[in-house]
Amino acid sequence: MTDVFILLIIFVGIFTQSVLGTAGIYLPIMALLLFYIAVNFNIIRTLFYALLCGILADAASGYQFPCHIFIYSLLPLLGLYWVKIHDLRPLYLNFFPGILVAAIQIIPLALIRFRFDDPAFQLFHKWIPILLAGIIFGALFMPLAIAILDYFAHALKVTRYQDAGSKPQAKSRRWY
Amino acid sequence: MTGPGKKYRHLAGMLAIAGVLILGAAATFHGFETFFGRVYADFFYPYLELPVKAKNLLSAQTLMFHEKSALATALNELRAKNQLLASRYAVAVEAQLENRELRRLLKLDQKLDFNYVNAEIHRRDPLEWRERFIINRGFSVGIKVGSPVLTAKRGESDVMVLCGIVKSVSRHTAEIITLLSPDAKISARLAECGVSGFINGGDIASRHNQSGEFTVINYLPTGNSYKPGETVVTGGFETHIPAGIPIGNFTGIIGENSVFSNRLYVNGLINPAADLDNIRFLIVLTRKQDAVAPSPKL
Repeated sequence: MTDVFILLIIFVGIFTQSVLGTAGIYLPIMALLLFYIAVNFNIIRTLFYALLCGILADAASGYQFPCHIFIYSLLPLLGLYWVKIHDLRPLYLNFFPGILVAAIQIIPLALIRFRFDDPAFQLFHKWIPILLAGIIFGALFMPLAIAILDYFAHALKVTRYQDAGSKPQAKSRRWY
Repeated sequence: MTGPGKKYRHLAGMLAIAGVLILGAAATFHGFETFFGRVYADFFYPYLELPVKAKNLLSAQTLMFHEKSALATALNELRAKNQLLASRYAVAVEAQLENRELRRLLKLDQKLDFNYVNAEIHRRDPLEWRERFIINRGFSVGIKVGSPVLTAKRGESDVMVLCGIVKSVSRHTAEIITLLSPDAKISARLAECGVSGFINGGDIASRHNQSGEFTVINYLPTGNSYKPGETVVTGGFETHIPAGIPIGNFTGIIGENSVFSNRLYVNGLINPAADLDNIRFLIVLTRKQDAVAPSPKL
């Protein structure tokens, strides 16, 4: 059930990001959802799905350098760190990881794709608006996504984001 | 072993496994790129096609808000245009017959006819809005790599101009790279002076700045005078791309064309005629594989 839940989240993320992208709107929805998965579940499992999403994103975008593999693989590490340092219960505090995840998604892409024939135009006409929109969206979307996905997680009896920091460390031989 | 030491060893082991997985995925990415690209294209195709169908349905329904008389007038105008185009084609048949006869006499290979495939944009990346997009037709309808893609000229819906070429194909979708992409290398000819060059044939990237968007034409011979505003058309060097399709307008030479320069070639800028921001309907031309152009019906 856990894997089905994760795959459904990934499917919704890919579908939404593709549809909005076709409409001309770039929002780092997939990265934000991967962060949600990273906080909830084990790092190796999350890393597997993050790499899968990264390979799909790079194959779909036609980039020669697989930048999404590296970008998405940072998210499980960020999720692990966020669980350890912060109480996840207050939803509104999760605007900060939303901002951070959006910046992690957009800044490397901007650095890779930046063109120097008219840098000021590229910066102020393209990349700064994309970064600002992504950051604002991340700050607003993250708490909302947590609330919605935790509702479904509770219904499916899967680990919730808000309980991730307080779950007991069960002794298990399972590597994932 | 003390508790913190065991915990850090566990964390280090997890990070080491994570690092190996990441590097392994990155190293083997190009081996799986085609597979995952096709999975993304064909698995998600029916779901991503739903918004396109919904948009088309909505667009068709908004036509119902027009008055019947306006719709009837528009229909009659389209019928008249179709008859005009059919008449022009009938007259062009003479050139086709003459071409065939001349090729036969000169013992040249006959040119194959084209298939014309309608398509719409299926998916587009906002970060590469003008360089690349995906259409909702693939090899199941005969689209091949290298096929030219035409769209309506900016401001003139009756004139079809070259928009890009097909870079890769899956069953239901095809990736199109536009003239602004550095991977779209196409032969071109300046229509008035008859000089040939190659779009994106060199290392200079296309430009998008405050003045607009421009692609680069390379290997123009030095010593000619090139007039800004001159029409650029396809050169016909490629098997899949017919000659004479409008590409855009020549805007000028890059850099100074100094008399004392020893360069054999110069580079120029072309403003594409296609409105790459607002593309809806596209036509993909594919050479028929086996059939020679049939005898036109007279």
